Amino acid sequence: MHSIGGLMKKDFLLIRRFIWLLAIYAVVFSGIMQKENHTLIYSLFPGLLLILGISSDSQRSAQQFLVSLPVPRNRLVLSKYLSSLILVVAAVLIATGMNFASDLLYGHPVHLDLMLIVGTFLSMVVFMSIYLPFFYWLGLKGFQVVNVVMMIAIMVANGVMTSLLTASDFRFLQDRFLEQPGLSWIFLILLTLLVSVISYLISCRAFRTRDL
Amino acid sequence: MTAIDVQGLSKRMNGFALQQVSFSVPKGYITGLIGPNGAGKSTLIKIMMGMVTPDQGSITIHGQSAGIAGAAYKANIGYVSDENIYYDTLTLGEMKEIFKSFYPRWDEGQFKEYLDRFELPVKKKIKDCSKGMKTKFALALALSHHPDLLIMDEPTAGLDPIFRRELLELLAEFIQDEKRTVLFSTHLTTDLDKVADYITFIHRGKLAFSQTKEEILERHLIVKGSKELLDSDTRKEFVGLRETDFGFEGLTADGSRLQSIFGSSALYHQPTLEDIMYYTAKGGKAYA
Amino acid sequence: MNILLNPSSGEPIYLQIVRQIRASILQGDLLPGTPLPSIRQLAKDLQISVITTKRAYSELEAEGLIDSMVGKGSFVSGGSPEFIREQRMRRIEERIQELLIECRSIPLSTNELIDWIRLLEGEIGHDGN
Repeated sequence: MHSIGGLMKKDFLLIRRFIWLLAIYAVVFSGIMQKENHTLIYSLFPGLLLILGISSDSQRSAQQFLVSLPVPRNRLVLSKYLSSLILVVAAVLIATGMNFASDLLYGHPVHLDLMLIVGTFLSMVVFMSIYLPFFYWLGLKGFQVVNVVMMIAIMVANGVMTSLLTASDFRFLQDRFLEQPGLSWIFLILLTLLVSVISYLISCRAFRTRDL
Repeated sequence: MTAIDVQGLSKRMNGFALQQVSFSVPKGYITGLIGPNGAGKSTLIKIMMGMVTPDQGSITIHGQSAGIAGAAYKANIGYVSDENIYYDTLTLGEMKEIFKSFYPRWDEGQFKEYLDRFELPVKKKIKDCSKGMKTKFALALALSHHPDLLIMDEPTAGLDPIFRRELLELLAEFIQDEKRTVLFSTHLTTDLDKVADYITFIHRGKLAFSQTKEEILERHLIVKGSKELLDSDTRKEFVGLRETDFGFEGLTADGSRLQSIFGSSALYHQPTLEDIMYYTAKGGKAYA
Repeated sequence: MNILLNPSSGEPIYLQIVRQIRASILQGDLLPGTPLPSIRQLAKDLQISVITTKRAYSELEAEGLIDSMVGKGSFVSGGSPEFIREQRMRRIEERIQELLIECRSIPLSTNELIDWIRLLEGEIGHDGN
């Protein structure tokens, strides 16, 4: 298990060079710049962080390095999932923080939309669960295509989400949800867990016999 | 005692295939894996390191099954790849910190010694390093965790001749402990002419031979003579022939036999490994 | 002890080593009991294969000139003076045979050779200069 620590340390070391880029994005997408739409950061920022987190390892040579280590392939996959999970958590926290800051900045009443935060977290985990198997399944070229598709998907999804949040149908769903909040949340969390475990198994399978 | 046992390995890749390759790498010696580019040497090594899955066959390293099955055996292997497999955006020092966490026998003092000896700038980013520096770095990493087996894939390509000599010294030092083994794949065979103990020759995906270098160099002979000496019978004696207007030069795998055939009407001398590779490729026929 | 190898002389490397070590032993440069470098150390210093040095040492062992003990290494054997003399005689016999073959090809008769030897012996002082 000590090797998982080493692998995750590697992931964070590699993402360090994007710090400035991420800081800029964080500011630009947050409520600080997007006065009307402070939910933008919740969708774009975690997605961005995830993609950056993967990109350093997307080269075949990096995969060769990892496989040359005395670490089983399954564990390599697991460490990636754990690192990605932490990135999602960090992204959501940063997004929340930025919006909190923007509220202070513009003198708005400070509010923490817990549903938005947890909802974003869960949906990002689902996104990660869809995204990562592609990484393990495709070669470098295929993966670059996937990256582009994913970024577009995020932006489209964001647009959809924004209109959804204001739609009356969504209000209806929300009300139903709020009738049984505890149960609904548990259901969603379990579903997310299931999806991520399935995703992990798919990734392991895809990576198991991949020639490098 | 063998360090690596290759049994019936077959693998089909783009453009070529390894076919039923079987050989052993004896413990305590330096084995050179030679063959022209594209013969399958790199693929063989990648299969040993679990990067490529064979279609058929198996490899055993230090008694353990090597390949995708397990990963623990790699803790005892120092691996030097033919390409740079390290993260370009990190510095040598950062890369080392990542690497060392996977090897319980890591020796920081030893690594520092190699840094000095190879004159490696620890704060430099890997992408800013020359190919030679990257190879030296790979060597330093591989040697500093005290493995019993060193597997190197074309380590001398891109190295200046001075360091190539130093590499041979390093290997000779490494092998002073007879529990250690070196497998060294290369198409630059002049390095192996000197220090290799065993040579395994892969030609067009098949094993041509795997013996002590002495036996190989003693058995083979370069024969030079006039064109008149060649007829359909004598041509069969040669692995490969080079004919010009001024005569022929060829390689035979049975030197004493050809000497008894031609006697003093031809010139003979011992081949180098490069001669053997060249004539085998020229001869075209799959080496029996 | 010095060992100098000539890779282009046509003589197998292991034989060159055998020859030179044998000469050192028979001339008394290497005394009985002197430890020899390990086969691996020798291979490293001469930049040759370990198999070659191993072969050389095997040959020397077969001739009774060195003893090898597992774990301890190789040593010049404690041959008696008679044994050493016998070895040296054998070397001289080999050289005489080479000489006779050479003379035949000139040609130089054996009697002429003997006269010549006597002549040279006179020139060589008794202290061997």
